[in-house]
Amino acid sequence: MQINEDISVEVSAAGTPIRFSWRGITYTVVSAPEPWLTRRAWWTEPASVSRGSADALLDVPVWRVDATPLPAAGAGMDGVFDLARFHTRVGWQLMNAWTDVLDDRLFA
Amino acid sequence: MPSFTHLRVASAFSAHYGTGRPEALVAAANAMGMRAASITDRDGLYGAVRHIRACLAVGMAPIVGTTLRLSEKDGSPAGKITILAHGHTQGRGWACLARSITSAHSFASRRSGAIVALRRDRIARLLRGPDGISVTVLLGPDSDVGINLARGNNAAASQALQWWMSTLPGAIRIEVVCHFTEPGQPASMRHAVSLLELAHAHDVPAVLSNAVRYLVPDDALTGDVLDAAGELRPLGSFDGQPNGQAWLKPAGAMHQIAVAIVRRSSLEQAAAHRLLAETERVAATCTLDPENDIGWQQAKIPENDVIGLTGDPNRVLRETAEAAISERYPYADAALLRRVRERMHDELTTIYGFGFSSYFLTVADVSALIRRMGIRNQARGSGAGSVINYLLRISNVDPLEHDLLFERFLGNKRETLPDIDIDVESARRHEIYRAIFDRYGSTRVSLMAMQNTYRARGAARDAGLALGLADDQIDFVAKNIWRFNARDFRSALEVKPELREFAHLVEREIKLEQLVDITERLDRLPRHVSMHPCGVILGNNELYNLSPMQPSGMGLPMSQYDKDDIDDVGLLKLDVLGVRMQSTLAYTVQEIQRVHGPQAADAGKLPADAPYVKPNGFVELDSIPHDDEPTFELIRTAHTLGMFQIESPGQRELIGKMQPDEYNDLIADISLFRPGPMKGNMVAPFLDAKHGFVPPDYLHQRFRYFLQDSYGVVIYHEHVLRILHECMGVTLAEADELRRSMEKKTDSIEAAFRGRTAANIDPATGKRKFSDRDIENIWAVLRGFGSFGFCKAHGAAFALPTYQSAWLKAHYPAEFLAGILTHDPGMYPRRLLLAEARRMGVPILPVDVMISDDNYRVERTTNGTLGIRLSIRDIHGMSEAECRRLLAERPYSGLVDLYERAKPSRTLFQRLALVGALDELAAHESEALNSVRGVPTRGDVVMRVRQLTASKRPVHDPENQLDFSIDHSHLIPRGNAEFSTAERVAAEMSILNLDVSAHLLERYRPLLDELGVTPANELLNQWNRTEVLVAGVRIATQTPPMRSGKRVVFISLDDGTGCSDSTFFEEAQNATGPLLFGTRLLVIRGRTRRTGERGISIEAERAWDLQELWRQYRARHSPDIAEPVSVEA
Repeated sequence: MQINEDISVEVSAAGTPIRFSWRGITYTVVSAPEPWLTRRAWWTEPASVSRGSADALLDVPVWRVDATPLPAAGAGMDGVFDLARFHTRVGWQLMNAWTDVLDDRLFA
Repeated sequence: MPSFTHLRVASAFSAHYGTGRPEALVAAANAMGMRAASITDRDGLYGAVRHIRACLAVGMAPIVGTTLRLSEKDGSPAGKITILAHGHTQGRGWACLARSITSAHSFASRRSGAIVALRRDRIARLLRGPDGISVTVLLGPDSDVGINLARGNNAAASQALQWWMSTLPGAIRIEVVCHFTEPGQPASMRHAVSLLELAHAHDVPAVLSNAVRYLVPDDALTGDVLDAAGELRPLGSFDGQPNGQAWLKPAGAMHQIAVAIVRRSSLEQAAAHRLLAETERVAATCTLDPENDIGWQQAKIPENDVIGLTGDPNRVLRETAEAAISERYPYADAALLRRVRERMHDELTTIYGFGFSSYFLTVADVSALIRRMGIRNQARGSGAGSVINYLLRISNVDPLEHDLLFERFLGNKRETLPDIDIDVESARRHEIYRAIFDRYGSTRVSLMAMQNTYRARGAARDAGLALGLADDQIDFVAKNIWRFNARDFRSALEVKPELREFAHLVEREIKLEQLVDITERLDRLPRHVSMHPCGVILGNNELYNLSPMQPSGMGLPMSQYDKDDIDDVGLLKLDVLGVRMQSTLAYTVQEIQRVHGPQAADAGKLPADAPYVKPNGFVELDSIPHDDEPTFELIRTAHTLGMFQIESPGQRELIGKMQPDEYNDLIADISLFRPGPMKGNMVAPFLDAKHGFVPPDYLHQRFRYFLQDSYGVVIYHEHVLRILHECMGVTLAEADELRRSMEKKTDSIEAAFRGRTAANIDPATGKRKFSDRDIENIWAVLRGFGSFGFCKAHGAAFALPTYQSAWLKAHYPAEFLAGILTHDPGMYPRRLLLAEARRMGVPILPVDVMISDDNYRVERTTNGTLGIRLSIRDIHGMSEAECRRLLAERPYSGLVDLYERAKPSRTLFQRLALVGALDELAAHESEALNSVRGVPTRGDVVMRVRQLTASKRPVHDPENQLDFSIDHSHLIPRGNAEFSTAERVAAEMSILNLDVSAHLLERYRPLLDELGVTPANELLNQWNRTEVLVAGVRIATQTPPMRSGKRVVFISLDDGTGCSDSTFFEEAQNATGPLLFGTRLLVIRGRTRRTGERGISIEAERAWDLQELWRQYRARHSPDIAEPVSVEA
């Protein structure tokens, strides 16, 4: 489900995520991150769209990872997470997350 | 450097999808070092010919295909496929491609909503030929195979693939695409991997593509906007493209993608190499040989037997031309006949050389077909330079009379078919198209396509829609965009006074800023394809193998090729252009014959024995003498309204200055009134020499014989040809080639010109023909001429309807005005034509249901003068059927009778009453009582009609069996006021959009008198530089190109006495602001500027809105003055 919350992420030398914390819980990436590209809705932003200025206006890099909470972290759950780097923001965003807990809440 | 070929590339000719022009895509692929370039536009070959041309120009291997949707037999969607034609197959691959596209379009229907899609049950028939399969079909992420895989339905995907393999064995390739979309979605890495693995499992070769739809990442944003325009919904309200990866990536990037896909898959590493190698193998198979596959630039015209040709076409052409000499030159002396024969012989030699004889016979066949239908037609353009065209009656201009050159039409080096354009009566154009289809067979004929591209207004509208702006905001922007290129939107905002308000908004509102930027992006992208307004394509029986067809608006098939494609694919394009002036001329001739019959010559003040007026009153316009003094007299008054091409404000000014007195002057006038000659300042020397202020300067005495037609000014291409011919000793055909390349190769041509002219020795004297000084002078003129000049043959052909219309206006003014009112050929509103009739003393007879026709008719009034009866066609909101019934059911005994039998809608019935169309009928109905009760007023008639339309519609009851007792409710009431002139004009404006009873401006008379406004017809009496006020209804606004490059706005007003023309320079534009373009009734202050004997214009200082002034006037004087007719722009 969509989360869209700011998170802090620790990255490898190649720039891919290794660990991130979300809602006070630190997760460790346990799969090879799968890069993909989502897009911005530039028409909702105060962006200049003049010819030649829009190279970076569309694509947003996202890493899909399997991650698990650190043992000491408490309440977190294993799950699949999309970590995105929006150009307009300083840090990272947790775009989507799929965990059993979230699924349960959906159907509660 | 790694090699890669993008097999699937949609160009901007995939409307509302692609953003890159084929030329740009090819250039980019070439710059990236790619060997081949492909184009696979959606639903067609719209960009294919341009693509091939661009590939040939840079030496790339051209590949052509198309991406089509697929549907099941029941119409349900079945994904998309890309079909690529195999090359070097004598066109078999191309034919499969063309026919598949035609088939896909044949099922589309606007009514049923069926889209363009290839039906699955047609595929085997269309793509499997007797000589095997000549196409490759790519099944990509959006194919039925790919879609099933993305849904995780692997079994269905396998099954779909097996169907393809068994239907088109050996022709199937899996197309792997990775756009790095969300894992699992189409074109994601996972999807690419599963497609590749599926291909491997079924042993089907796979290729890698990037399903390209734009050139560079920046264009992805334009793609978003096109998606919204295609969806007709704002961005964000539909699923658009998932990201911006569909650009033309370099080979290296594509190789990395191949490696990445294979690494993620279960396949061995070598699979990446195989994927890329197979891509190149398909590229090689599909590389076209344009000559072999589509007969590049080889003429394909109807087979000889189709045009009824037996034997050698050269012989037939010669004999036909020979036989026509006595008919075309009946009074020629021996010398002229010798010239005709020599010229004919020269032309034939060239025509034989190209093998174009059957082409000329084909065009002659078409014009004979049009003539047999009794439709006026006339060739336009450089074809008028050919005596063969004149003899074959393709053209009505005698090239010998006007000293026109064949070489300008058809030189030595021309490879493609020359253009011959035929102007016909616009009202009967579709009739001609159908006749051409009938004559040559629908397998050889089609209409031509036209690519409509985004212009400023449309671009702003679609940009506004994409951004989700409110409708009124979009309207505001669109209305204020006036004649500039969308790509200059930003700079226009800075300089144009009428955009000032909008420019301020843009500074504050980011959405509007985005709108400006997007509008610039959309500019000139193809928007949609439509039927070309005049192009008919003729080919041979192979036409459907060469060109895809789609339905056109008029029901006949339309080729997907446009005017820029036709030459290269070797098809014959006939421009059969509907020209309203031709309809006007035909109508006027009809009216003359109808009204006057055998007295026609007398009625036109023509000699009784005039050979061009037939005994039955038919005027043979194409035979009238070209030196008729009354015609030139009328032209010189500059009252040229209605005359073809010389009625615009600018032309009126030029005519006023030039004072033409011979046919050559008209040709010169038309040729001079163009941006080039205006900028090149050819006008002033012409006028000075014509009026005798300076003697004509012929540059050199050897030029005198051909520069006499323009008083020594080099105006025409023909002049340049002759100059080069005289100076350099080259043939006229070579001279034309030099002329064509003059602009690009000025330096090398200058050197050749100087060298050869200096070496040109007169054998009689042994001396140089041209001195060094001559050479300097002549070259200066040639260089200045540049690209400005005009082809005299064009001018001569254009001048013919100009002269014919002027002749008719001079001799048969009422008939001619009826003609222009009926066919509306010009640039002005109809109400101005009425004003002209009023000015010329031709009575305007009101609409009358008992008399009016659906055309404007000439009618003899009671005092014998000829008037014009208004047509009922112009009644606002009347349907075709209502009009037909109203005419067919005549005569009527009274209002009720009409209401019952003609069954007009209530609104229409009321409008007929208001505009006075029932006045006569009402008077007739109550004839017996009129002496007692008086003739009913317009008010009485309107009241009666209100009564009738308020109650239930009466049942038609001729025998009066229902036995209504006759009571007063069946009679027209009396005592209602007669309409005032103001009320009449108000009704006429709202119902006919014409001011019949009085000129619109009359309502404002008290104000105009107070202001001291000068009537247009008194301007000529003013001294130069007098300050004047003029008022009137705006009839034309023009922003022509100027020498200085600054924008100048011309506004013409009509005040009932004539037209005034005002010029707004920058300061006046600033002072006037938004009124400049929007307001219809204007008062303008300025100073008179004399431009010639009969020419005067106004240099404007400022303009005001007349209606605004009127409001102020009323507030000052009497609040009781009635609100005048309100006029919306």
